[in-house]
Amino acid sequence: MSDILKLAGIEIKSRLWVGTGKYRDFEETKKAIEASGAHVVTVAVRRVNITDRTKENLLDYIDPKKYVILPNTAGCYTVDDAVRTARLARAAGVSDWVKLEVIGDERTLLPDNEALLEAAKILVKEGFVVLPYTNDDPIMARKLEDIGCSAIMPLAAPIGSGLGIRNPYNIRILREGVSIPVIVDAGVGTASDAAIAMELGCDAVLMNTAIACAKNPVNMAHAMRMAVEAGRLAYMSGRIPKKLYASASSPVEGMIE
Amino acid sequence: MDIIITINGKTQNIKEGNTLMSLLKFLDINPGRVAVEYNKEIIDKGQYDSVRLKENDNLEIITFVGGGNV
Repeated sequence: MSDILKLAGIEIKSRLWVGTGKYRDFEETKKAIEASGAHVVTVAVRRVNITDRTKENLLDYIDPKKYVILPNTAGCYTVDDAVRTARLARAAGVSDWVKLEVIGDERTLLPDNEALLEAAKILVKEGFVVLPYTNDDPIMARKLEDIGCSAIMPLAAPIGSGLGIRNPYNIRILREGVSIPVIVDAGVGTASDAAIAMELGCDAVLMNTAIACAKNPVNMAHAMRMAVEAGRLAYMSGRIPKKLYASASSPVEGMIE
Repeated sequence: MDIIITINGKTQNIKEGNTLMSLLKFLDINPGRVAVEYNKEIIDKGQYDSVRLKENDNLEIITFVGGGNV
């Protein structure tokens, strides 16, 4: 059975997408990403440290020929900042995709959806593949699809919280309401959370902290990979309905008397 | 003679006559790994050789770093 996720004409080889922040060093980043099996890898955009003479670059460890590099606008609080960051990211020449974040508040790191929609409109017009980070709000998701975003990236819980899927019903409604891919972004804490996201019918899960800040990031990356695969397969296999009462799985005929 | 320009928010003295490309080389920065905003305007990679730096220019040089959200 072919079950391949396609986005902007690219066949995505894994439904687990990963971030590159919070690792001890680039070597650990590389090992964890390899263990995760991820194909899409998100990176942040920051000023070059011109006094740092080591000149090590993340992309020396994450080969843009091997991975789909997904630059993000993490840390942007206004439309202007997010659009400027996205344009710079594209000018770096490895990707015209952007994980668009416009953050509303430092304490919650929740998205500012009004600004997000505005920034998304600008970037879609400029030909970016726009993947917006948004709330688990089905109406917002539809608006983002309508203006030409390539996928929706709803949060499961606040960024870095590890609280898991806080509102599975909203995620399901959101999933059913749009025809572009839905990628849960933020809030996953452990493997079962990732499996739940996939069982709800999401097309992929993006995570960073849950892997990078685990005691053993490489093993956790492996666990997440299996969870995402298991969750997807379970979703595609069609789970049984939930019932209040028991239903025997052995034949009722032929009992000894 | 030196000129004063701003790179990533810090003022720097550099030799007169530098292009953007020669500055990146001097700073030991791989042009393939960065993007440059020159006086608020993004410069295409192919143009690095033709941008000649002058007094009070403002450069933002960015690259990709580890990050997931925020």
